[in-house]
Amino acid sequence: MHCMDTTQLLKGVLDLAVLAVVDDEDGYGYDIVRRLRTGGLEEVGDASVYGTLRRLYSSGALTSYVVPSESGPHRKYYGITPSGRSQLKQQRDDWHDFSTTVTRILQGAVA
Amino acid sequence: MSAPTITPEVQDFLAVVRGQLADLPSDERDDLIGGLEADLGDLVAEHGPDALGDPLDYARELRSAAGLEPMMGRPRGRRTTGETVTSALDAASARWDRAVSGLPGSPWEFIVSLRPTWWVLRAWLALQVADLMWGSGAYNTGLSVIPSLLGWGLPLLVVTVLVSIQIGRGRLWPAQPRGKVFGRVVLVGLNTLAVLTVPAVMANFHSAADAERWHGAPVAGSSDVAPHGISFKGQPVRNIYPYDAHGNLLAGVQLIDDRGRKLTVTRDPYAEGSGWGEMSLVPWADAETSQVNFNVFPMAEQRIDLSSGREVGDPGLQQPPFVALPPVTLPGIDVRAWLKLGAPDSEPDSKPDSKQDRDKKAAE
Repeated sequence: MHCMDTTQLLKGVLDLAVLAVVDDEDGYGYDIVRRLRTGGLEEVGDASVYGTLRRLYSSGALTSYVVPSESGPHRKYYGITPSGRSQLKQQRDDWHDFSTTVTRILQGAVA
Repeated sequence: MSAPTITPEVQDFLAVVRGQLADLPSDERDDLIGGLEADLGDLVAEHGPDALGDPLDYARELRSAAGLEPMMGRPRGRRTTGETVTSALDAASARWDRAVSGLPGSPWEFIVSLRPTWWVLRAWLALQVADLMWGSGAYNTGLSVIPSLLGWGLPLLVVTVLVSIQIGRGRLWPAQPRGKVFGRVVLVGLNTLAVLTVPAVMANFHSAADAERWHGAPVAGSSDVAPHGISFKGQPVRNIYPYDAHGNLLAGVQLIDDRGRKLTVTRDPYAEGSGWGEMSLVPWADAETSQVNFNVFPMAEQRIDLSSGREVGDPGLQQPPFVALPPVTLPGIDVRAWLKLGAPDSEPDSKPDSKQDRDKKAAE
């Protein structure tokens, strides 16, 4: 399951982060962006987050529902599915393995 | 959370982004844009309209993260019925081509080269089917090589063949405009129908042998069994009303053709034993042998009650179509002299001896 393609991994990191945030609590698009930014991923683009939410929804990792409001447009909320939870766990473990490996390599390379 | 304000900047921004998603199915696109509207409203509410940035970049990033091609590709909307049908027809056609192309001797290519023949054949088949349903087929007199269709057969055949050829060449609907789904489906349907009618049409060509088998071989001298009696414009003739040169009605006219055959009308045009339906023919009989002759006109008729099949009333000569006709002449021809040849012993203008006269003569 280790993917050595870095672009995939970067995309995968965002998947992981988004899943984690949604797993913590359901949210709508901008809310999730805000949580990711305050969590430390300040540079993350909201378009990327929305696109990721869409992709995770299409793959079945997330579910969505609309909350209507009296004033202003509806809010589309995302929630995590059982499939999303297992994907989150898998990717969390993968990430842990990957990051420890890379860290170890870097520690070895630093003079 | 306060309700976001959807400013005009957001609307415009979204319009551009929406345009960049035009290759998505409309419900997917609406889904994406709908959620964005509120979120971008929030963004603007917090950071002002400048936070929106370039909508094209935004769209590209969005597409990339969503797993789509960064730039819009060919429109990929949900397929219409037309597209589904066309692709099904194309797929079937491709499968057929694959299946026949490998056969030894290229039989399919040979058949394809016969296409123009098929165009002619299908027109002919169409007319034969029409004839079967409404023309001579309805009278069960069988089909002929040139469909009779109540006399319109030959000109109709020419027209239909021309139309069929033009369709085959792609010059006429449903072959044109090329590729349109409905026309294509219609063409496939009509061609299939034409192929299916071949056995039915072939079965209805009655040969002389068939006629004998059904009606029995004609007994020598008998004119009663006549499967194909006189017909006119494709329809069997039931009775004949002769008038002479002065226009007067005649009775007891015996018709013989140039080959010496008795010109009979058929007693049973439907070959079901039901005769002419509600009227049945009552023929003249030979004066000496009493054998009935179906070539003596006009015949008397007998009404039949259709439900019981019983005769109603008495047989009789019916009201002729005309009381009298205009007189006619044959200029330049000596008719009287010719008539004398037929009856060399009789005086000019004399009537044939009546039975009483002949009896009188015999008694003398």
